Amino acid sequence: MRHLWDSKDCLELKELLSTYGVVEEVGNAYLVKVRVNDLPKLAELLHWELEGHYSTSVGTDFRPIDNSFKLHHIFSVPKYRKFVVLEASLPSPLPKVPSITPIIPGANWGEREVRDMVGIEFEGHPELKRLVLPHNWPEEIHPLRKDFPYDRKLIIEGIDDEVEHDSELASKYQVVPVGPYHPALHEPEYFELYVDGEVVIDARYKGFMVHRGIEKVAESRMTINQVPFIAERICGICGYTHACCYCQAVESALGIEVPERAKYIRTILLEIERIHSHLLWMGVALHVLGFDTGFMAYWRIREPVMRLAEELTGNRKTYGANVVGGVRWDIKEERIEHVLKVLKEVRKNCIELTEKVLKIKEVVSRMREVGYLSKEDARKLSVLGPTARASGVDIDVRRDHPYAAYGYVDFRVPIKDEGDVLARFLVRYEEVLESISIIEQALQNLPKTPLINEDYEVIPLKVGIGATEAPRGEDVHLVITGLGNKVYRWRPRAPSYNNIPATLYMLRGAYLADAPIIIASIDPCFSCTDHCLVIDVKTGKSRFLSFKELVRGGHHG
Amino acid sequence: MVIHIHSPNLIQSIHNYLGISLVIANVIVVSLLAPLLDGIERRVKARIQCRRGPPIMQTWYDIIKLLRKGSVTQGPLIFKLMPYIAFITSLLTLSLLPTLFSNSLSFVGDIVVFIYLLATPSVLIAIGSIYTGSPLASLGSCREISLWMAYELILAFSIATLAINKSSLLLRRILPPYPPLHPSVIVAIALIAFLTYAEGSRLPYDIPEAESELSGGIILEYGGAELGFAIYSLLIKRVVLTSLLIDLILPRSRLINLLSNSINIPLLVSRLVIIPAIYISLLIMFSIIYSTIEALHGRLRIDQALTLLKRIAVIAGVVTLAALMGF
Repeated sequence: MRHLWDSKDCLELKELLSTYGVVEEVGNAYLVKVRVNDLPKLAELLHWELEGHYSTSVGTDFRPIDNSFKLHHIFSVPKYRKFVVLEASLPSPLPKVPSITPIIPGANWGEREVRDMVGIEFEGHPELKRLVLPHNWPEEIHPLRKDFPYDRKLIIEGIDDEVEHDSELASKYQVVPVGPYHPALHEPEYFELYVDGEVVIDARYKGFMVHRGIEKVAESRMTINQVPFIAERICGICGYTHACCYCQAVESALGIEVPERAKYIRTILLEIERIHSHLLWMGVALHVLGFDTGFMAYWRIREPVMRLAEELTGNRKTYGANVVGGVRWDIKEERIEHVLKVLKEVRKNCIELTEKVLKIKEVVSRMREVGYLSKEDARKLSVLGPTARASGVDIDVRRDHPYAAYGYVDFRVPIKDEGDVLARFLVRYEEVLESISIIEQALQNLPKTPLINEDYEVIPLKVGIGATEAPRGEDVHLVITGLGNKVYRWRPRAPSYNNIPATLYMLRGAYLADAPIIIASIDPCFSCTDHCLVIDVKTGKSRFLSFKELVRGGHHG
Repeated sequence: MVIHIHSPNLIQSIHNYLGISLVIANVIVVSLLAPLLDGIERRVKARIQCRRGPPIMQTWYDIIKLLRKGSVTQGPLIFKLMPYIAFITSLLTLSLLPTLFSNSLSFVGDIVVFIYLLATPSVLIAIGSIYTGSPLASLGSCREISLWMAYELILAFSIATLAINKSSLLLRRILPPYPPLHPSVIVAIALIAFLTYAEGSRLPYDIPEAESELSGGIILEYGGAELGFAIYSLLIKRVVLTSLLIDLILPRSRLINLLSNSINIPLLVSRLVIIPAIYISLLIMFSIIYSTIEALHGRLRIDQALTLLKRIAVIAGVVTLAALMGF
């Protein structure tokens, strides 16, 4: 059984960490209270020496509690099957901390977001500019600080006309805008490609155009058991994984034991979500390559999976099945047989269809050796999920940090070394088959226990980490419980957050015609990435902005 | 007025008038048919993709809708005029080919004119798109023109092969029957068959439009009536291409003779009913074949397509040489 790891090894890690500060065990994570100046050294240790990876950074305004700011860097260390959360306490008026981006380039966005939202300064950060907030947002206002009310209307002067635009490159090469509205990418985001003939020289990305203020709303006006429902609405495809992840974070913070049956049901629903998400992506990838028949065919075989979800939860999407401590709905015994039958059909169809698709020469030639991401770059940027696994990085939260019932089922983690779009396609294809097998095993071994454990109390200011393997990669939520049945801080980090920066590496030197499939190949989920905050950015404004960019791009060309 | 039926001049002029009106009828009927064929193709593709698909008339509805919208296109005059010029050119191209009826405008050297006119609509639209300054549209234009050069080479070589075989520069003369069915003729027709598919901007060769890459590419900046005409001229170009192929494989005169000699069908009936019926059924057949092929392909990248087309152009050149040597 994979869920039994050697506790001796874990002690080794604990000892190592305790030289840096007090180590507290929270669920499957070690929470280490460290000195600010030790952060770069620890980052080096956890990310590079112990071959873990940087997950995300979370900044919290702790001034109402103890007049300080808290910074959490989250690392996953698969070698020890542990998450490590480095907690640094920073003094109040001017919180400052050494940046870890020079050591782990993947921390670039995480730190910049903390700087925008909470106002913690990172010394030695190579690219110290705004990431999330618009450029004309007042300098001194940080929306995730506790003294910024969630319903405050902020009137911002002017237009956010500063974009990721490299004028030096733009003067030399033709600028091709991809987005914010582009038929191949169905969410607002903006890639600026610098093109020489048909070859992409370099690229810039501007995202965070669809902030919905979910974090702030959850912290300000929702109770601990309402948040799973808004968490599920972070993503339109893989929402359930966010709900699970949040619940696990709270469960680990409060030490809530989840009944076995609930764990199995979560596993089943998570895998159904993965199957439909991967089949959806495989269809979209073929659509981007102009092969619409394949697109329709994948969506046709995906449809029974959507119906399965409806049969099991009442909804095709946004299952609403999770609460802290368990699940709300049972899987009825008499349905199991039908589910197994449908899954058998899905497996057969998926194998048949994929074999046919892989025989089509143009389709394969458009994916092979396209969008190459080396293993070093993937490690450097802390790339996650199928994107990482297609570049030879052997990580999978389900195996490395078993949650729900993944410790009780047997599955394989597909790894490919090619690092191209085809490898990402094949990894996802193999994962679909593994997911079907996981559901089959879970359904056949459903334990008979209650569905929910409601016997818990919300202890304030407890830190908890939840991590799930979303279809796109590791999904991490950090929760700090609050007073009065609320969350003090909740920070969800969707996998695309770590994966999108990698597209810029893949795009360099690629053909322009391949840009959409390269961007699509990480299965980007732009609204998940943009989940957080921002109250007053009007969508109209970003539209205007991008229109200007388009026009400008045109004149340069 | 007394009509001198026996005057040979009059018969000649009636014949000419009839010929001209049949050419006009050809152009009108076939251009009306072009969107319907696209409707059939969309339906066939939908069926292959497990969809119901739009009604056969849908392409017509789309074009009518666009034409009624009036002009909303922004850009220089040359850019706005291009779709109209392209449309007229495509109708002219149509008049050079025997389509529904076997009559066509014919003059010495019409082959050369035909080859040039055939490419004109897309090249005009490509040139117009460059003037917009839109990066996506100009990339589309760039691709269109690269592809056009490759297509032209293949088309020119293949038609030259046929012309050498028949020793004529009259389009009408190079059509069947081919008394000596040389290997070079067969290869040339096969190449033209490939070209009628590819040059119609069908997948995997719809690279200049590439919806998911360039958001429509060369036609991206057009809207309203201009877009309608741009689309319409592409559809007519497709029919012209298919008609060229049909003309090359359908021995009209021999068929008419056969019908009148063996089963005593009057010439007029064969010319005005049977041949048009065969022509239309062949058009529909090719539409079904083409859309089936299209449904089974993804899009090539421009460099892959150009490499492939270059190779085919070399084959076409070799075939022309072979034809010169009498094979």
